[in-house]
Amino acid sequence: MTTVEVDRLVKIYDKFTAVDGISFTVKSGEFFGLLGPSGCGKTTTLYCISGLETPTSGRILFDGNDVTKLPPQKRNIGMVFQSYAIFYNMTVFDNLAYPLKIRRIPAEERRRKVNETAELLGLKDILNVKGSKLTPAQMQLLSLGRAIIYDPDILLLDEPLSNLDPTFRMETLRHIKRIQRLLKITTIFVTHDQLEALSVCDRLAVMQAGRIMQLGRPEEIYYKPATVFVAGFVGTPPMNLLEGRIENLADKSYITSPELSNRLLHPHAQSVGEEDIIWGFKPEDATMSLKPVETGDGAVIQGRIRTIERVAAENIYLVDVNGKTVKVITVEYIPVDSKVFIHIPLEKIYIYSRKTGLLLYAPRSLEKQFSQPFG
Amino acid sequence: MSRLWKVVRTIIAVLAAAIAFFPIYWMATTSLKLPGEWSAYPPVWFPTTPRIENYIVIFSEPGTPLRESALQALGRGFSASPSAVPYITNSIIIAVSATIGAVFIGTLAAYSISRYRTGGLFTYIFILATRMFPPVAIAIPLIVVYSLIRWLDTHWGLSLIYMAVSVAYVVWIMKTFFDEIPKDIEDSAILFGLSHVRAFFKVVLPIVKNGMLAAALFTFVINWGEYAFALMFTVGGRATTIPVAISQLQLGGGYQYGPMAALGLIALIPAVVFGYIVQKYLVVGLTLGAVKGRR
Repeated sequence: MTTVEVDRLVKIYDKFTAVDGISFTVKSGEFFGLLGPSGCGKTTTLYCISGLETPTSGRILFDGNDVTKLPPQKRNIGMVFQSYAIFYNMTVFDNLAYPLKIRRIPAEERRRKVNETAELLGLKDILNVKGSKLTPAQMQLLSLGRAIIYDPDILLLDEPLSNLDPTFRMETLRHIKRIQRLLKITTIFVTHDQLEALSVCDRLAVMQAGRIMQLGRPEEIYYKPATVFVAGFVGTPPMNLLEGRIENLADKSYITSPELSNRLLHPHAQSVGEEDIIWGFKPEDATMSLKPVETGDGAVIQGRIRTIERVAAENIYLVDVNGKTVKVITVEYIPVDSKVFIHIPLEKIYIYSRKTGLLLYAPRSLEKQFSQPFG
Repeated sequence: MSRLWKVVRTIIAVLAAAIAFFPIYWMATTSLKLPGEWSAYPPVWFPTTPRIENYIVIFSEPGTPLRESALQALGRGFSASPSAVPYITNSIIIAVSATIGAVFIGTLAAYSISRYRTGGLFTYIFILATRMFPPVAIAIPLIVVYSLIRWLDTHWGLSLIYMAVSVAYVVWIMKTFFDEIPKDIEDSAILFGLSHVRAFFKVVLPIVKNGMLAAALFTFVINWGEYAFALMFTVGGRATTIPVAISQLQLGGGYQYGPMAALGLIALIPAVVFGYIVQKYLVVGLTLGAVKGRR
């Protein structure tokens, strides 16, 4: 049970700033995610926490103790690497026993601990199999086993699922989460896959260009993306974002945009306080039809269907609107090349500042609907 | 058609093998011949009666009865040639020490270059470039320095030159091996509780063991057969190695092809034995199978 505090962490390689002064605290026993596109600094942050990288400035604290200068082998950290880093020439048993051997645990105790961990991870039947003969999913579990067998204070996961077949990913992730809950070990999980992060993390930080864009619970990140970047990153597919303006006419505020067919009367637009905005809506919040439908106060945009992507039971329509692509998810089938009307209910529209990219207005909390599908 | 191709392929392979092995065959048979058959025309393909006198001359001390009788059998002008045993000892001391030194230093250097890009690309290229000088170009300034510090004709003197020359090959071979090892392997070992240095010796080195054996064989064979430096740096005769000794047999009393062949064949043995021992690692080693790439 350990808290991890990252305090104004900076890491600069030559002239490239990988991590640009970020701070966050991971609570004891929490499953914390670092989410972002590649090169955003999330892995560098993880390596600084592990001690394998030395920060340029800033501090790392475990339970309030400054460990910034402590060498990695003295931090008592377990880590699962992207490449698994298991020893191919050793059996599963020897792989698991190796960290204990280094820590001079007596042979008897070692055997007991290996059996216990193998039981926990379901590796019991393959203890005598060589590392090179394992399937990627087994390697993954072995790698996790090796990281937890010596009871580390903190568990670090560096893109642990990226080498697995998509079919195994969620299953393995659930497994990891179950074990994490069981051991109540403080865990930091690095991933570029927002679906993975939103599924299992208690809280997560979305990173871009070495900075944290938003930190919060998955439902906050999903339903209240704090910046245009986060909005354009989370969700499959992410939010549609279009440029617009707010116009005030006779006491009333409207959103106008080249894509909008109507001038959109918006009750909260006035409180926003800026003229140049980006307005957005989630692909699953829109509906689509061949003829205009009287929806009252919602937004309407017209376009032509360019492509249809099928994901499971859903159809993702890529609609060409005024030269821009808008994505809409719906189960019904509309042929490619059809001219369509997209309707967006007023209470599903987000407003961001065009200047700062920050969230100006979000629809009222929809968080209650959110349930962790893999929690 | 494929059958014909098979026949052609076999013929080509046999021909290539015959060309490669002919000198060894000739050396082996010559070492068993008496002077009359060494350079007879038409050539004697196999000695009429195989004789071991050539080997006796190589291995026995001057003055012993065995040697005298052997010399008598060989005839003319052989009394001058000394026993070759010291040369064999010299060769072993120099080649083995140079190989161990080069593999040790080269492996550490290769690790540093592979992991930390020490010295940048320049160092890596520069180390390779040292192999592009003709030996004579380096030899002259080195002879001046060596004569000043009195290192000429010493074991360590020649050994150090061999080390310097072959370390480039070791760096070259070992860097590719280290490049193949994911950094995660040693990072994980460090998190298990090893210091970086111990992680290198306990985790990384065992993985590149095959590469080290391949590099060792390679440098040993080069050092064992090296002639130019040995000739220039062992003028006094105290540190003379086998290749130079063989060439000097030629200068003794006429062309002593028999003893030369005998010594040559003896010189082959260590390289063949070493090669045989490490061959199973060598195949894996030279194809860079250190860490199987199933990531």
